[in-house]
Amino acid sequence: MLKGYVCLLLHTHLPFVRHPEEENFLEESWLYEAITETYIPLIQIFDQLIKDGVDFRVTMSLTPPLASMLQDPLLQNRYIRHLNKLIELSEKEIERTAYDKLYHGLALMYNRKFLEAKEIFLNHYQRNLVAAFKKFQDLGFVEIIASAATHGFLPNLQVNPASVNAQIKIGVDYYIKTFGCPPKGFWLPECAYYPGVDNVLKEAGIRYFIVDSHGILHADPRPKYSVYAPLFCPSGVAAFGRDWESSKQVWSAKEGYPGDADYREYYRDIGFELDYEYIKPYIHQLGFRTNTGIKYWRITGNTEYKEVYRPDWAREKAASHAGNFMFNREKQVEHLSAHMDRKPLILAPYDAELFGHWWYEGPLWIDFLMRKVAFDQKTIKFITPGEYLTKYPTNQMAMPSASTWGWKGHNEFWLEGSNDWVYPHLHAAAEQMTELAQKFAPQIEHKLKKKTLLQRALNQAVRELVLAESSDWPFIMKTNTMVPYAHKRVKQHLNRFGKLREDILHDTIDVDWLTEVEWRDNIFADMDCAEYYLLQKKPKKIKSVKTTKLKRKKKAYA
Amino acid sequence: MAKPKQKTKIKKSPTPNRLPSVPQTNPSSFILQQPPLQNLAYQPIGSSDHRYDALRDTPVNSTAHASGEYVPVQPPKLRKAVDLNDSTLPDLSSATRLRLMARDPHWIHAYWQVAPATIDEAQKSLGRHFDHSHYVLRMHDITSINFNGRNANKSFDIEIDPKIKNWYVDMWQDNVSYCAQIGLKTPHGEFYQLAESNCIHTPRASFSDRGDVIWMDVTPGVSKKPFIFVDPSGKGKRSSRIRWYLTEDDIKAYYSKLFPMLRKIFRSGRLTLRKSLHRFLGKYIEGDDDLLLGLHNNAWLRKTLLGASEELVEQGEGVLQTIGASETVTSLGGASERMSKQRKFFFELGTELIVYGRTEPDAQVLHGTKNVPLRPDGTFSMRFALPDDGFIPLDFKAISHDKIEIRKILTSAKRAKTNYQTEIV
Repeated sequence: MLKGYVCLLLHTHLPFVRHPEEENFLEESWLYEAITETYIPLIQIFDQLIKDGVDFRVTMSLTPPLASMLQDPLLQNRYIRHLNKLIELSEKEIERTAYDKLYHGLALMYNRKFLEAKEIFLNHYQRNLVAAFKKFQDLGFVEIIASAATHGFLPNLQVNPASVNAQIKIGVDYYIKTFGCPPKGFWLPECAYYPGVDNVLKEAGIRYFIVDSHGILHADPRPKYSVYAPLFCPSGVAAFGRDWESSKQVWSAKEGYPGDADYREYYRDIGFELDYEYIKPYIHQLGFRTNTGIKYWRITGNTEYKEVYRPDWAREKAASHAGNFMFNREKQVEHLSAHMDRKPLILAPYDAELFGHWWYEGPLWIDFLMRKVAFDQKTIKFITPGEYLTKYPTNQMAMPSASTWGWKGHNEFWLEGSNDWVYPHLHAAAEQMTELAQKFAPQIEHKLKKKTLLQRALNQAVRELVLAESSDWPFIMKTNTMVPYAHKRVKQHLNRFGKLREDILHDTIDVDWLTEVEWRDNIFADMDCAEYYLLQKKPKKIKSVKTTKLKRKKKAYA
Repeated sequence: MAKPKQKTKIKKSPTPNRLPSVPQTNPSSFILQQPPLQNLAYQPIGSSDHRYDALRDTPVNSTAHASGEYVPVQPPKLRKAVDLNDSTLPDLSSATRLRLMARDPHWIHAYWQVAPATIDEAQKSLGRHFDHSHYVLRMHDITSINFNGRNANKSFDIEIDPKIKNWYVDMWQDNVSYCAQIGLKTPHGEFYQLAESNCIHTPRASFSDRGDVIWMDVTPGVSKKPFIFVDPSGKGKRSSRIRWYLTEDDIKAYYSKLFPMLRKIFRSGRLTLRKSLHRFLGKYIEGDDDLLLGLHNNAWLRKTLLGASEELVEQGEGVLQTIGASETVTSLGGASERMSKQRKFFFELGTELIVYGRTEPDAQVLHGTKNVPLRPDGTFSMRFALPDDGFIPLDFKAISHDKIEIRKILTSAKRAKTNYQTEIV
């Protein structure tokens, strides 16, 4: 008998790392690696599940920076180049390992996987992987939720309500443009919630968002059903809480599944292991070693000595871990359902890049899990939060507590000694942008077929500001790696914003410079971004409400 | 790690839709030439006209597109060098401002800038006291009140060094509202304000002390109806419960008691709880704790109170380890470097065999049965991993172009079994 639901949520995000100005840009490889190791394997698995008639459900966020990079022709083209290089390397590896029984099969495996990736990328989805995820959503298997424009860390931006407003509404409108329908849910970057942000989500037509466990547990009043049912904020937007038991089983580096000895070792890559002269054409152009994606070893244990990877053993483990996960959720649901007047929901959100990129067998694990849950038992079922709300439109009302899913559960990871210097600048720029938008409100609202120079400059100023606001930069500063890149990005966008503002105010817009910057930072290129800084701009939703009574009510809620 | 250098001068290629009719013979003179303005009509990227994009970002011809061949992006050549120097930060010192941000339930971050003009003003106003005054950050607890500058629940001063631009303030209580002022305190204790901050509310660090169960019906895009179950008969039976719908004012009132932040959200004025509701809240409606607390044991509660996202993993004899989600993976590059190897000393040896040779450029060379590609000058080379205790047969055969002559070179390579030794001196 069906006793409860499980929701698997994959938060899919990468910072905007498009660098047209240079042929080989190190940070762009984050995107290429994630495509090969995570996005394409997930697409492969979803396609196969659909083909095999498995009724599965996955909820995914696909953030605007990632979606826009995946749709960008320059990056698509460069990905092909990257993949061709990998294929070439894997062919060399097949030859090189011809007399090495242990590694030869692995070289063949990588070669096959890269060729499959190329086939999927080029021929199945014509280079546009967003189309794949859109297809899965249209078929009803995947629920894609919106996210903030550039993964801005909203609690630290709330000093300027206009910034929060722009982050959320640009994100939602970009979603509508990309997926052709309004989003049901919203991924608050880093699960960072603060009371009041739900009102902006409400204005944007959002029905639910996700918070970490303590966001629900510390809600006021106390939640009746813990994190196993959503809460409605007073604004009417639902908050779903993360289940910590299922999270730990997958997240934890020590006791979680991904740390199993039979799984592939991430930190041993032939880019670092093989002879320099041989591998040189496949690492960074400047000659420093980087990951190639070809890794021949398994985790083995807590030792420096690594045994060779055995794909068949890893596959067995993935199957058994999927079974274990399912069993634990069944037991959990059985226990919970005895105490609740509704079927409990266990929400397990993860970073999508964990699956495949870090935990190489992760996509396989999802595959096994979806099949097992569909065919091997009847206690639990996968569901999306949107579907759950349709089943249960009545829920407890409470105000969730401010929280994030970061270290220590609050804002410290994004607000501490290494990165607090960014906020005075972000806040000042947001204030300046609000002033600019007010000053030039008539020009912003004046719709023309061809944008005037002023409109272009104002829109670009907002693009620069939102790019500077990305939570990835303070995150990188705190992790203390690639810090110069994060510093550079924040400074770059702030400076570009500053110059645009000066030029706008003094009516000295440099058209060449503007064109250059538009070409470089082309996120939301066809959106009128400046409009989002007009706070009085009425949200699109309200216009559709017809009766005066409803209008009044809406006003009161807003 | 070396990093690709950021170019500061960028030249871009002219595109036909922007520079149509300039005949060019000398490229260098072309670079300095300003294009006529009317030709710079904006083409939004991604609009129906893709020429802008296609020519600059994706120089892909149709056959290359189909076959997946990569065509390198042409380095941009622009008419005018564009300065994109980005290395400094904007100067913020011209404005005076003070901002508060909540870091977690027990820490508030304050940062400030004081413009020279503001200090001059203070100097004029304070006169001779100015030199003997010191800078303070004055924190006001404004939980549950409408702050007017004088009615704070409590206030305290932190002496600050004017050269330091921010401070983390340690709080002893969670779930409180604060605002702050920065100013000069004269030796007589007078306070001269330089800037005032925004108001913030710190997160809650534990369960709410309210257990009322308020329900809400939500029909997307249409309505939301909060209600409570009341039992007018007092029998305590499920069947005798009725729904009591709440108004917006009820909800406002419910939260205004503890949550002044919400006042702003609801834009309310003076709030009072409906008398009738007051009778029911906490009296006749359902209690909740039986479940929330019953669902979990004490150990779980301890974890929760410490913060749910800190998944406290007990290892061995109660050694606690904290793992937060963001710590594991959020950013690909960031995390990969952070968790990189921490070997103290290691020693590894790999062997590879390189075989090379030459023949007539038009000959065919086979290794076993596999064709070996020749370079235009007739040379070739192959590279094999030579594993421990491994053996590689090297049977090569060259066939002349006219297929008349076949030459064979037969040999092999063997690596002996490796002997590992460790000595600790």
